[in-house]
Amino acid sequence: MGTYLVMKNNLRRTFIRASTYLVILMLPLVMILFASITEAITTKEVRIGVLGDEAERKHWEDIFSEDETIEIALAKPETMHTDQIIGKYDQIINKVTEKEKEESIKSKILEERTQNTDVTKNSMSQSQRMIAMLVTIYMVIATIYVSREVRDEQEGVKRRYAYAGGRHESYMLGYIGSTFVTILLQVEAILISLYLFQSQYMVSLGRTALIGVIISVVVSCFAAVIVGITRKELSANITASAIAALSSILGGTFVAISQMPDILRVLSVISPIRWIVSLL
Amino acid sequence: MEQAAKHLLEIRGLMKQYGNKNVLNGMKFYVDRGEVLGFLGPNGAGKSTTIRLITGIEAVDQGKILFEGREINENLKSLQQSLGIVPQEIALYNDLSAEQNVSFFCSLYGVRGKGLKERTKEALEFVGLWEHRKERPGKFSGGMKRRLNIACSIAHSPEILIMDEPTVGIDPQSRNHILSAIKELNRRGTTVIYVSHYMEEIDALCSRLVIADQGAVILDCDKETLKREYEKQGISSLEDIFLSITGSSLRDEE
Amino acid sequence: MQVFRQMLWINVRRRMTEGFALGYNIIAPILFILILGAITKGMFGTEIESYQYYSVVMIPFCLCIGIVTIVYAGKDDAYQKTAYRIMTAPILPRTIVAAKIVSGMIVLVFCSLLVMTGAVFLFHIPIGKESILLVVLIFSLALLISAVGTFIGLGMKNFMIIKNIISVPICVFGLLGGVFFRFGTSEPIIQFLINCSPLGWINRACFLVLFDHNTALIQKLILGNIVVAVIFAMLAVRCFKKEEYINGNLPGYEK
Repeated sequence: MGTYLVMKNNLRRTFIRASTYLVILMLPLVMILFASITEAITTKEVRIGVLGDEAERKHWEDIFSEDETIEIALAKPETMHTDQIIGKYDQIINKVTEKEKEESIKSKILEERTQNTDVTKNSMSQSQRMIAMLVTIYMVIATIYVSREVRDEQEGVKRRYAYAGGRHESYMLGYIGSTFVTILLQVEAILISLYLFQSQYMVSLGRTALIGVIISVVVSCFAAVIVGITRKELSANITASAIAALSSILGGTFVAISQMPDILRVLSVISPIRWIVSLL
Repeated sequence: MEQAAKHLLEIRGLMKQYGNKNVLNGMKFYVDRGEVLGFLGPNGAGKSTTIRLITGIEAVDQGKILFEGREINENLKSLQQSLGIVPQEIALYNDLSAEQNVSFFCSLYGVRGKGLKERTKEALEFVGLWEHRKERPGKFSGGMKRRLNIACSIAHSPEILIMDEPTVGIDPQSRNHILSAIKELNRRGTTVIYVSHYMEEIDALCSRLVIADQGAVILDCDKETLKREYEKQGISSLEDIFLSITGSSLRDEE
Repeated sequence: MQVFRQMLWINVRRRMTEGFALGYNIIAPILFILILGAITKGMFGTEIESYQYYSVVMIPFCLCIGIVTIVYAGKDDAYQKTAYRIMTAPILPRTIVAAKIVSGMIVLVFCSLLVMTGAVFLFHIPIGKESILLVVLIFSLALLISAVGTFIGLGMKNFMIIKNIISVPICVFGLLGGVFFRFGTSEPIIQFLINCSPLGWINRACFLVLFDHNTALIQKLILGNIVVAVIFAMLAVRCFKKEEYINGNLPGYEK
């Protein structure tokens, strides 16, 4: 009974806050932006920088005129190393006078293009990226919700509950329950809005509903563990943020798991994001 | 002007408003050098607001505060240098030792070097915490924290010490120690403005009382004179006198 | 000057011991460099190794994320209830603000240089005589972050909300600036967004110094950082409110 009363009270406290509703409005936009940007990471195109003049650039453009995935631009010699490092160009070509060298460069570029295509094949789809983003964010939000229990303890409110015969475990369960319900409502609202308005979200309604439930259970339990261990609001918040970021990276959000080194591929097993997106 | 310069601190006709609410309605009293003034009043009387205005934390809407005959706007720094505040809440760094806390807060008043070390030691010895100087406040009892709270406020040897309910929540032994310390401070020349709801403390310490209610002073007189006057009406305890003056209805505002 | 030194000392001490600086500016960059470096090993071609890349981009990013430390510092005295004491002492607001800004800068610089030194030796980052400008950039960026963070921290009401809100644009700028994974694109909209990321410009400037020995961009960035830092420092002094500085009854406060 105590658990139910705590849960009910917390739901009342949560749903009078404007931030509860703000999250539902803001998150779909964040997810779409993130998915669009990370789509660019696994682009199929190859960008080539040519050191020289416009004629040289035109020459190479003609060589690859039939291949739309290869783009040729003029590169600057004073920034050529940096441009390659930051990914502006995949390769930089100097002025080439010999036919054999030209052929060798051409085959290298085509090989690069093939590699890019393979990388793209193994990467997450847009839907998976959006779900991965959602899980990452909600690992932090769930922890914020559950860590309010620590504040209740500091303010003496929990002591009143104990005077009335309530136990610490039932109070905590009440918090986890209210967090689960709150997050379930928020996540389902976000996923449904993506289903309805976002063309790149390709998951059926039934599966969407199931994913929402799974996300809510996983993040609520995660938050309970973090708060239970740290017992400090601030520490819980920071720990959850760090673990969420790592889970996102290990879960294959940016680089496909198949392309990771062996040890990280093994470590990725502990990332909940990996398992949730594999359901899609 | 001669009258004004006679008082160490003088509050004249203070007005302060928060939103639509008048918190101070012409608060007026003075403090003379060397006395222990009891500043009393029910909750919401304007005591904390008056203290905040004296310390310069908030600006006055109307009225004047004079320190040594000069308005504090002209010489706020001089007043702050001469002022020590013992806040109602414990204001200490829990991750510094007792000695480091006192030393730091004393240094904010320009005390340095050998003088700083000496004053830190004096302050801690005065409140009976020298043996615990290396310990952190987190490990202290409530009484010890209160005493350290006082030590941090007196280390720079202020001329005026404002004590806002310094004995809240502590045992009789610690309270007794604190009251003895205040008497000793006053004996050494410190002027004290003492805010408390405990009438027995006011009775033990103060020579003069200022009772405020609803933002204004309703009584300002010598303690003994007040007691003699009310004895004629059959009221002997200071608490009963206070209730008789301010009424016994509940005050819900802070 | 003595009071400023005391305020500086206590703020530096508190920043170094409270764990934020250690977490955000030492542990986080080391972890990210090692994990992301391992994940992307061999994907950077012949110009640079993955660990070198992440060493260069992670340090400014984590320095920016360190703004959380500075924002917290702005409210620290209120949380400890010691703000009242400081406010009633004869200290000018600009002394308090200056101590917060300088102490924040010192701590951020110390942590960043520590990680940078380790990375240079471990991953053989090619440093030349122009590389001193990287150190100057770190100083200027730390000053900027400290000034902006102090300005926000001294005026904020709820640390938890501010902390979570501040991290979002920094992470977005980091993503666009190639901090997590480098990417190039010819999509004009994405290219425009990439150019909007200050971290993208900082990373580019660092690589230009290290690999192209080109110092034009980094000099502009250093100057820009200092100018903006001075503006925010002046704003922090101007907008300083005693009530906000003292008010410690805030949600998110840990006793």
